[in-house]
Amino acid sequence: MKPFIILIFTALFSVNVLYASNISSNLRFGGYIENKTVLTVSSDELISDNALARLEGTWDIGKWGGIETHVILSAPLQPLDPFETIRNGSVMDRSLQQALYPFLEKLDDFIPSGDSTEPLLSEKDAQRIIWHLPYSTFYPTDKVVLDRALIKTYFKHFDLFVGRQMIAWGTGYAFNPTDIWNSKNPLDPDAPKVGVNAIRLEIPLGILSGISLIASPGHDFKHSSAGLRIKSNLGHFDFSLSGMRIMNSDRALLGLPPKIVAGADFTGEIGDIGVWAEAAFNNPVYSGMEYTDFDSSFVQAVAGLDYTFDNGLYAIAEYYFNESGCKDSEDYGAKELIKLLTGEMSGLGRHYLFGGVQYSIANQYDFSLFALGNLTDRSVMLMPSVTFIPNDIISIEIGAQAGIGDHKKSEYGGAFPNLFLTVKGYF
Amino acid sequence: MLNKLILSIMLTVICGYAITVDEILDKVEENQEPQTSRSEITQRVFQPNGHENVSKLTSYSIDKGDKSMLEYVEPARIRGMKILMLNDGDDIWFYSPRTARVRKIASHQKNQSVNNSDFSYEDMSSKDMREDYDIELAGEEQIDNTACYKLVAIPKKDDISYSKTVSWIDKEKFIPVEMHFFDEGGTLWKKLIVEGAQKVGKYWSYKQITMHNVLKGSKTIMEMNKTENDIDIDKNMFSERYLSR
Repeated sequence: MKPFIILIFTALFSVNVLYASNISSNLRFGGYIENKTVLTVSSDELISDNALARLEGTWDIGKWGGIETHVILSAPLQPLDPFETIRNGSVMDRSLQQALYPFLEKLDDFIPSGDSTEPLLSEKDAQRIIWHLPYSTFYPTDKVVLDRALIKTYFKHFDLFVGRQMIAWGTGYAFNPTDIWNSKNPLDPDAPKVGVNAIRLEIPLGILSGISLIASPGHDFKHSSAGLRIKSNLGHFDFSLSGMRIMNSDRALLGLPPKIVAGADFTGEIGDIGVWAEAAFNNPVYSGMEYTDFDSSFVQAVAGLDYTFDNGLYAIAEYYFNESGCKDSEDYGAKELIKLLTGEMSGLGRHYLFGGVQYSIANQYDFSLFALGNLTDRSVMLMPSVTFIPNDIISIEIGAQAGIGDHKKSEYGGAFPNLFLTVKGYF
Repeated sequence: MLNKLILSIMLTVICGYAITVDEILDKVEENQEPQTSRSEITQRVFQPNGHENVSKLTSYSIDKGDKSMLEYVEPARIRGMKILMLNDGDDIWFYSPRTARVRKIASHQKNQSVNNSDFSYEDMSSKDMREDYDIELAGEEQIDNTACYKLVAIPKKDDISYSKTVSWIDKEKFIPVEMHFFDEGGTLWKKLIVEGAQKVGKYWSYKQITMHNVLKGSKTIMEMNKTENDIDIDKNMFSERYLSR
């Protein structure tokens, strides 16, 4: 880990020095600031507010490479206890309490309701989950997240990327089972993902073909990940095959073992319809098992299609199969929740359907209605929104999230509906 | 690449004129098809309600437009967005810098607007017109006091968005000055007008290209701030490797 910290600071220092030295012809700074206000409609109307700034710096050294740094600063200006966004006794409420209680009651501001159960985690680990794990951070806190800090070097036959970086594998829209580097939130598929510490070697084998080799070091070899992806193109289809060995300190913390993943994906078109699919065979290797023991293995797969009608209406549908999820909503529990929060899987159940439509008027108004359905427990999260773009640097989005389903037993039915307003300014 | 868009039509059938369609097309291509090209462009999109969007982009092309690339420079919201078009625009890939994802664009999106402009992906690509269209020389007409040949092109393939294209070619300079695009019902859909023809090296280029969407009432103006032809452009640019750098 230490070399990466040094690397990151080197990258940041380099950009600053270059800027100070007026070597600015290929230096670019940009980003955006954002404020999101959420009105949660429970027995009380609760308002929360979060501000975020994304700062991006890039130094392009032409054909030789470059340096890139992105930092995300976020501050909950008016935080809301996450327990107030879910119904008492709902699946999420029960699972969270099972996983984190009684550590939660030690936090002054947040006292959970309901009966206590035996904790699954030590106090130290629970604290880490509550406050520090990316994407699973449960309570809103002031955060500085280093999203990217990498050195890019281009050679004749390969490119080398060293540092914290974005790696985007897979072809799915809301779900990406082969993207083990960054977990995706299906409730917000377009949200930027946070970078990962890695050394990435890209070896092109033609215009649209190539090999990616990735090593993502942890604090020791056992807690490191590595992956290989071969990508190519055939006719109107892009496809890839991938293999990975995944382990890191977060998985260890949560009691998840190393796993071997074999993946495949494609994207293309049949007639005028865009199609894609992605599948991952996951083989967790528990202590005492061999890599060839498949008793605990599971498959996650995605298949989707999209189409744009002549009037400009865009429609998308995507099915997600999650063998790691529960067959019955009665079985939802803390273990499933932890796997969900850490990106091990993208839902508590086995079968999901994501779909929606999008329409743009006069370059200024984008209307969308998306729905994420858990077919296992028959609950749906509806996500309507309108985005207004008054000019080239500002966007204003008004939207809502409304869970429909059994309040106690379903994944999405237990959340209170909310309305949100997001104002974003680019620079 | 945009030059090639403008000569987007063409083929054989001809009757009763001193010059054939092929001869016209040969001369237009000779005038407008550099081996490589790089342009810095300002794109202004005007909506019927008066709203205006301004973008800046750089376009690159090699192999006489067979391979081309667009890279957006401004505004900040889309900075770094890249579009790669290969095989005369039959295959298109899109790169978003924030998600670091390269995505192949399916056919249904090719008639959609590029960055909310009145140009579609199909318009921006350089079709092999002699292969994709039946073209007829339909007479000679004056356009803004310029004597022109009038060419009517009917697509041979179903995957082309327009049912008919009419273009007017300057008889002296052999460059297109105006084009009309018709929808499947035969209604005039878009009008493309070029202005400020000038020679860049041995090729004709334009200072401004305007696409009017007659049905929507919007228009997009492409201002050519700088154009360089037959320059040294690395062919490796036109690859997924470059897109995702």
